[in-house]
Amino acid sequence: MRRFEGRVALITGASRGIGLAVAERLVSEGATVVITGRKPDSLAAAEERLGGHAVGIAGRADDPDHRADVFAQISERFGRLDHLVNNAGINPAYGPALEIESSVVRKILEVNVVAALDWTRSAVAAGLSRSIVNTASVAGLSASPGVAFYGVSKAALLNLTQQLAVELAPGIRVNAVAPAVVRTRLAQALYEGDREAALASVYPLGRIGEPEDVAGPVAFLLSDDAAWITGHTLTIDGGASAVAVG
Amino acid sequence: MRLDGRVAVVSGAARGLGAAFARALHGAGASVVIADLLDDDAAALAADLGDRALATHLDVTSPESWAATVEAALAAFGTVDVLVNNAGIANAGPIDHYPLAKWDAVIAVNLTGVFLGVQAVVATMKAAGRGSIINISSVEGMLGGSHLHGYVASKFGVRGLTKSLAVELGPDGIRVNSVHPGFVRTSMTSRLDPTAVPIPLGRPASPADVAGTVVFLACDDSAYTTGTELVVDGGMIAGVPHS
Repeated sequence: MRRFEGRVALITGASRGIGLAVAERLVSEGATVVITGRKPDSLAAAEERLGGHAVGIAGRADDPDHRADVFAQISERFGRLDHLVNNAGINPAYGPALEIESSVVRKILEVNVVAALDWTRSAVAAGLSRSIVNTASVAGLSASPGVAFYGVSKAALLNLTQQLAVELAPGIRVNAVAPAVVRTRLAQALYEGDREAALASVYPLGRIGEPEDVAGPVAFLLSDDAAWITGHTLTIDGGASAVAVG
Repeated sequence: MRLDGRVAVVSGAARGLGAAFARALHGAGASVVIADLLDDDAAALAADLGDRALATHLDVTSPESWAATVEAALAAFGTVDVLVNNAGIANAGPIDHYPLAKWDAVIAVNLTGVFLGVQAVVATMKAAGRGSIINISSVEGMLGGSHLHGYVASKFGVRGLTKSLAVELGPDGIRVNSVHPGFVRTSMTSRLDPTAVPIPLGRPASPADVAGTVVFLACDDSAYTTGTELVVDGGMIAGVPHS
């Protein structure tokens, strides 16, 4: 299956975890990917892993100069952009919403919501031709004790997905994925140690998610297989959010 | 291919959405059982697909009919990995003139038919330790629609049944999801005016536009996706309609 042959995709926050798994999946189906990440070393390692099919550009997702540099390089090297995955996200604070510092709240919104809008705006200006997927979370669908304000930011990203879907139709499709706990560094505190078994036991499929569990659905939503899907949030949670009483 | 070696049963597969699903699943490598009341159309599609295709007579409101279709699937292909509960009907009327017979008919096919289909395949899927059940609901399983009382209730019912099944069958490795198509051009929607329906992507769908979603849910790309809805509607319900 080579759904992305000849296409160029930009994936933010792709040094590791879900972003890297998405990059690997798209490359395996023929894409060339541009990946970003904060740390040059881990980004370079990801680029290496993707063979000759990736260009890594290090920078912070909420840095306008970094963003401008990325689009300048896309224009110069490829002259086209087919897909955008707004995957960069942060969760610097665990705990209840009332206990989070306002400065941290602003930083979370800046990276998880405002930056996603800015990357989208720049991508559209650069001629983005096909589709966008935003990486949200089930924490954006209902209260998630422990990651309270992260959840608020992801709820905003889900609404932004719908707004942009309507604004960018019919030319560009915009969808989101809402994974539950996935084995990534961002979520590590949620599944460390004996927490994983307790978590897995409440998921109907009996395990937490792996980055590849998200990469398949993201590739589907980006591809022409989903040509009629826009403004949708695809939940990927092993059935957890379908449970009323276990 | 993504579905090599897999066996899929599709109800209402002789034409419309069901035929598109059967074609797409077959094209992705699966063996397909084209189960329908319309024997001639089902046989013609099976003949057109050639190898790995079987037509069966199926009345989804009958447990015996389901048993016969699953037996035929097992005899021909050895197992059932994927069930697509697609058969459906629609009727309409204002609530004060909506007869009980219409209500009963649409609930029987659209909701009880799904329940019976799952009952017919679940033992086989449990024994295999895997399976994907794909229930075709509708955008009317997400929102209301004037005059469509039985249809809306049945499609919300399918969405709810999907969740109880996903929660119960997850530990057996069986995934259950619902698909919610918007305005698709089929014989069921032939009387609707496409220009009267606001669709951000600008046109009604063809059945093939929905088929990619069914293949995605049937294959391992959706290995961690269960108990959820996939809305395939060109963006129709993403926004509040404004005229």
